[in-house]
Amino acid sequence: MRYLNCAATSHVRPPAVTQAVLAAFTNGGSYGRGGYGPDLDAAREVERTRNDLARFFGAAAERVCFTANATMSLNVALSGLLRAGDHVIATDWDHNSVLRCLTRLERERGIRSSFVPAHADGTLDLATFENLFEPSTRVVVITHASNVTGEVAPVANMAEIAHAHGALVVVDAAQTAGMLPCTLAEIGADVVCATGHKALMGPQGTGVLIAGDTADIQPLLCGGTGTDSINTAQPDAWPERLEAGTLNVPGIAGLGAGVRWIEERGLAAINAHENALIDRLIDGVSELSGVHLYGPAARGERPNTPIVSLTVDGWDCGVLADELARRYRVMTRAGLHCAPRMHRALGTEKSGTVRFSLGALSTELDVDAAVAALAELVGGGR
Amino acid sequence: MSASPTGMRATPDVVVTFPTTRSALTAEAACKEAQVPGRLIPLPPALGAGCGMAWALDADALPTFLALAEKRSLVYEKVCDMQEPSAEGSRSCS
Repeated sequence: MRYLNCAATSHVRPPAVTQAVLAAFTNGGSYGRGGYGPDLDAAREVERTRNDLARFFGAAAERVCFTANATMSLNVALSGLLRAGDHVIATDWDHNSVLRCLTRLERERGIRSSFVPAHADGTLDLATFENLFEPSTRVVVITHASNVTGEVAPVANMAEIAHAHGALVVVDAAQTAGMLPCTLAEIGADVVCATGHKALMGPQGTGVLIAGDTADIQPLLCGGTGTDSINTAQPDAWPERLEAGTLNVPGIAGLGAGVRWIEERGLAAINAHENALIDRLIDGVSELSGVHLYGPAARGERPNTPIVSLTVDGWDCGVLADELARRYRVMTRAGLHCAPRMHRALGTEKSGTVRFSLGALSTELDVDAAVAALAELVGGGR
Repeated sequence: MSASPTGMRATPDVVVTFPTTRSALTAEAACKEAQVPGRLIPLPPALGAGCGMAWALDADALPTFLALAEKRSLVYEKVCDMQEPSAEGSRSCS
């Protein structure tokens, strides 16, 4: 089986991640729910991971909050920052984890949203960006890399503009954390939202919200923290402020192992490996007749995250992905990838695309098998 | 009073409380690294109806702990004398 759906989840993970999950699960303790034995061991493991993530994202450790995924991180951040009457700027690249949250906040709090449009080639219309600011613009939310085309946004530049207008910057790093530098300082973010189970190599059900000291995020969830139990209001202190309920200790232990694995390998080495693979994939599929690429790949550029979306003349995307899986055991993902505005910009709102995505543990064999399968299905070279 | 296997009396002389689980764990890690004696315990009910973890230590280790806390910017809430309850049964905390 060749798994080219790494933008959805890692699937192949370092053995250390599995071992860490098993060890924490076998231990069975709960974070902050006892000062002895397994519970204390669990707390130590969670704090070890928190320290690792703080180093990785260049943040204060108490501002590293565990969530269930990037979607939850984004909901916590946006719901916790935006107040009635606020204006927010988002982009056409955004995932439904942002879009649906904003739609709810529009209905429930009367916030207003503007979007940086994407051109038909997938690039963001940055000339429009600065014109979208209003006095009430509190937040700019930026997708670091499109999950459809793999293109990376000039997030640091956009953040500089946002800060000049007094807005906070929330970055959706679901496709980049573990792949590209994502420290608060490097990307100019006030909040970074990431999932644990993609390039960070952790298990599903893990995510993080990294907050700079500029982000006064009010809690979305309220509940037990294991501290200050006499107080029926959610504690103000970080990280408990945003961590109501029992933490996913086995998942967090696995996430920690994933981050340490990335640090041992090095982001630059991972990026170089993935760039080589995506170049190989683009070279291979570009030669095939009837294949249309989207985003940077269509412009002869490398996307900088290992994602390529394509359509093929005469093929329904769902059927094509199904044939690749059924006949060749090559796993891709067809459809709109929860990014409807981006597909509308690309002109693929009705058809969707077939997305091929790679990760740190993908191989040349994966790429070659995918290219060969696609070539056989669509009838070879131009 | 008998000593525990760790050398500390079962009822500690002093208990330090923390605002978060993380701050308690951070203090534990710092104390271990600096070899400041003590251990994490469940927050004694006498110190409040909350829950959480506290750092228990002998009275003679307190100056070393406080010096370490200042040096490492450890976050804690209160330092409570567990040996001298007030007339109301509460503990003297600073």
